Amino acid sequence: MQSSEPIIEVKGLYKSFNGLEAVRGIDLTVFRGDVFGFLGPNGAGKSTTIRMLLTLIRPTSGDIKIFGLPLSANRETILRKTGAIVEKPDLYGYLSAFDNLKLLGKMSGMAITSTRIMEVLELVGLKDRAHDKIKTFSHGMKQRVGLAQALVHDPELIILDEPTTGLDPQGMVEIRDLIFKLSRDYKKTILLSSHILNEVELVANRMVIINKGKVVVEGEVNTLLNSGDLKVTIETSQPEKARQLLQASEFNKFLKNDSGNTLHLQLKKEHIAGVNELLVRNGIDVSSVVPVRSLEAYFLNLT
Amino acid sequence: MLTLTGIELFKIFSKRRTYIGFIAIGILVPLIQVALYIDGTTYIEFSLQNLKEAFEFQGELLNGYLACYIILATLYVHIPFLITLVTGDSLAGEAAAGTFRILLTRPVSRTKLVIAKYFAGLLYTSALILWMALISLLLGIAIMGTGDLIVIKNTVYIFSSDDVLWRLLAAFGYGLIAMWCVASLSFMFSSFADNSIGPIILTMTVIISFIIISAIDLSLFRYVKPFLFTNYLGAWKLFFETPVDYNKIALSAGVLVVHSLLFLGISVYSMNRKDILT
Repeated sequence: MQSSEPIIEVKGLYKSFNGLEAVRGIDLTVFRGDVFGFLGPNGAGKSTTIRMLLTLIRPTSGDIKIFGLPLSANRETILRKTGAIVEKPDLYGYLSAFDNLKLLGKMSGMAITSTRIMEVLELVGLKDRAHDKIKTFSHGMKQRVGLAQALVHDPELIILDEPTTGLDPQGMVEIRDLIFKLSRDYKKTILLSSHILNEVELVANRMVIINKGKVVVEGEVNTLLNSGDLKVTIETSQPEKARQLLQASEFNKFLKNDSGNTLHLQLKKEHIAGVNELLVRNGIDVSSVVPVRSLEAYFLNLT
Repeated sequence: MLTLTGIELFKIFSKRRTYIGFIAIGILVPLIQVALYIDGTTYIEFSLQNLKEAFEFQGELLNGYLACYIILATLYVHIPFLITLVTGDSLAGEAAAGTFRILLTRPVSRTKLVIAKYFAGLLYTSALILWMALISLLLGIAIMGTGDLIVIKNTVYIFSSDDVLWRLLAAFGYGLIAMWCVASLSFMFSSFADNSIGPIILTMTVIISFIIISAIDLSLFRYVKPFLFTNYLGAWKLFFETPVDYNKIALSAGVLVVHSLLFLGISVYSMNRKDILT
């Protein structure tokens, strides 16, 4: 359930490393209940920003408020209500999953019971491996324990930095399902950073795209996706005839290059039906009309 | 703080490398004692060769107390390596393993965390020295019994059997302060590094270099010597003089404690300034 209460407020955030500006004046707001996508290509400044939100890196300048409190002066209060995975799920390999959660839970300043630890391990599907050492786990399992440590103290805000990196498709789906569950069933606010655009599109309600340390765009995922042109590919066995037909029609201006049996168009969503109808009405066998309705296209247009 | 220190101790004693020091001492000390038991008389004869021309020695000079003294004198230069294996890894090991990212996103101040890790390192050091003291004394006495202790410095000191045990215990106590200082040094280097090999090598390099500078009797080094903390590591030997110069021992211990606190202070400052990029 999304609300208008800001959970994360970032204003004019800068970070430079020896003169190299990694983050250049980022502003963003995450509201309670959001699954907020934090997008950008590799090296855009996502991880640096997230590390600043978690006090792992000190900002060069700028303001960060979390839960309405300035981060620098309220670090411990804020982190008590925050869980995070930052990049790789590095845990103590010589300890079991249970022991990792036990000691990290203790450090969260809350009484974490064995029952709670087992609950969280069950949530991430690792209850049966609770007492096995982390060093015997696969990458995907480590990622799930990483998620478990972020949840063990029942935080209100969960920050996930590239949580699906290195996972196979099945693992990615599992993490995505878990994010859905945390948002829908447990009412958590989630900041999800990723460079995999499709991943954010599938789970986030709001997003920001950053590039070269700056915000490119911020807003509702649906609104952003439905604005601008779509790239559409049309597959047919008569590409030449279809091309001539389109060139002679009002849709000529949308035509792009073609390849083999495929035509490429760039147009508004409401024009797709008209194009299809024109081709079918003139006896062209259209085998597929595929709109590339993804952030990928959107992102490539922006950056 | 107690919880944090407990967590750090749990982590230290869950690692295999922690036991290298205990195993090394557990092998080395009995080996020296057995060797002394078998061949110690020749060793003592050789040491007292010149003195025997002027003095006559009676009684059993080879005993558990002498063995313990020899072990202390031999190993206090080498024990630092075993200590740095753990304390040098304390902060740098977290950086190398990437676990700082989960550790420092917990609601615990970096200062508290560093101090907890420091205390855990000191407790590990204490356990190692205690283990060395126990095995040296108990096994030595079990194998060779007790007796008078003869110590040769510029003068020959002979301590009666009932006057030795407290001196040995006090020496181990001082050794503990000395090794805390070594642990603090490696801990400080550990706060700068992102892998644990660097702090271990750097600590040993500093100790060995300083000991060499202290040992060479050149005028330049004589001026530098009082400022080298390593110069005070061996002050435990002052307990084996009569009268015992308590002022000098207290001063030496004070220098080591001040160094330890300084190293801790630098570690806290360094960690609070550090951006976690690993």
